[in-house]
Amino acid sequence: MKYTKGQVWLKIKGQTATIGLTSLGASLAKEIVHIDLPEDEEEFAAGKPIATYETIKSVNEITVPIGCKIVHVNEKLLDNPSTINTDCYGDGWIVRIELLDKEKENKELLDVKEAVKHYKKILDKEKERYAGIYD
Amino acid sequence: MLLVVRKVIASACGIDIHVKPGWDYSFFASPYHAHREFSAVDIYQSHDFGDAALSPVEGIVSGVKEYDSPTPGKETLPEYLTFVKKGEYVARMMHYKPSVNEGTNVGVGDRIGELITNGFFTYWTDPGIHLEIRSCGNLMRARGGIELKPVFSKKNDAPNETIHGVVTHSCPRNTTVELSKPAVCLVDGSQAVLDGNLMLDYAGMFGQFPRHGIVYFSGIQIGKVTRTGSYMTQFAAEGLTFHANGRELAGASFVSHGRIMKLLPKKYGATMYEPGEEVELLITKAATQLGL
Repeated sequence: MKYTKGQVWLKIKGQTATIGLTSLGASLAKEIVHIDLPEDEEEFAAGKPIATYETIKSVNEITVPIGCKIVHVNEKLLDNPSTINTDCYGDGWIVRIELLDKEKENKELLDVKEAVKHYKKILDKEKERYAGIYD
Repeated sequence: MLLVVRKVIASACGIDIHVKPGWDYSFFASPYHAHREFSAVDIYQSHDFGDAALSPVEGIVSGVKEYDSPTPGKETLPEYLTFVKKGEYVARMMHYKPSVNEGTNVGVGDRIGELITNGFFTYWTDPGIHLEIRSCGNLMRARGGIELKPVFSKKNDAPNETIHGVVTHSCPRNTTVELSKPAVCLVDGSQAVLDGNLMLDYAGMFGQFPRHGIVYFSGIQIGKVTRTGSYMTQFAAEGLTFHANGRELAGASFVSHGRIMKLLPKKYGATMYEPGEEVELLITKAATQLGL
């Protein structure tokens, strides 16, 4: 399993990967009311948005730091996008991709230790952001 | 003597958005999508969460929905969407717990619920109503707001040489200052009233100004124009530092057509000013912007 700084997880098997939002990403995006998914066979350069999802306030993009081609999208999310919030590692997977670059050489793909370190900083910032809200 | 009961601050598609005396408002003091699309206004009606939310529009309630808001690491707090229909369009409002139901007729100033806070807020955000105008088809998504037409005069005061005023309210979230003159900036030699939060990556002003125009405020460059709407303009706010009466701040917001300034502390609870105190805001470029 690999992760990105943008709270995306990648379950990599050979040259393909399934991607979704981490639990932190899903909790930052409560609650998802709409998602725009790519088409099968569509190709994306590293860092370009693959999908866009919306809450009632925010618009967010899913990007991966590696060139890819779409193999399959989770069409069930079109009717139930909030599945990403309730089951982000299971039924809330978003797309399956073919990796067009070598993932082992990509330093922007984080292992779990690096991801936890980065996500903890984000969580600490979030706690500062809503300080006073629970008073 | 004319008693001002309410005034229209913006409209779209036949729906007028009103404020009453004592309410503040801003089109750009928020990082969220609808504000960046010139299609939202925040109306701050009180200093206290739990106070009454009063309707800034008239119409019939066509729906009420409840959602979760983002509070990672904490239990979720709810957010509510209320839709008030007038003609073929809907005022889409949030940040209050509604006390009205579908079918209720509401008039401007009617109580429609209780002002709440939740995970969409930052520690410095005041109680208020977020409002957009939508067509009836798309009411849930962040995208879909209709551009608002603000009411403003094209005749402006001279641009500010200094930014000063008197504190009218202070709380752990922020300090409210009534400015001695409205916050007016210069864009390519023309004057414009400021609106927004200069600690965000963007802010705005009333009037149309061309892209890449340089924005000056109180003698320093604070940004460059990035987007021009039909009635208002946005600029990318450059790295700035803020001090008022010698004390460092996280930032400053300008609301209510530049007449009111909110001083934003570096952390929740760092209340630094007293009601009645005279304050002067000093904005400077951050060291990183100066190449230091």
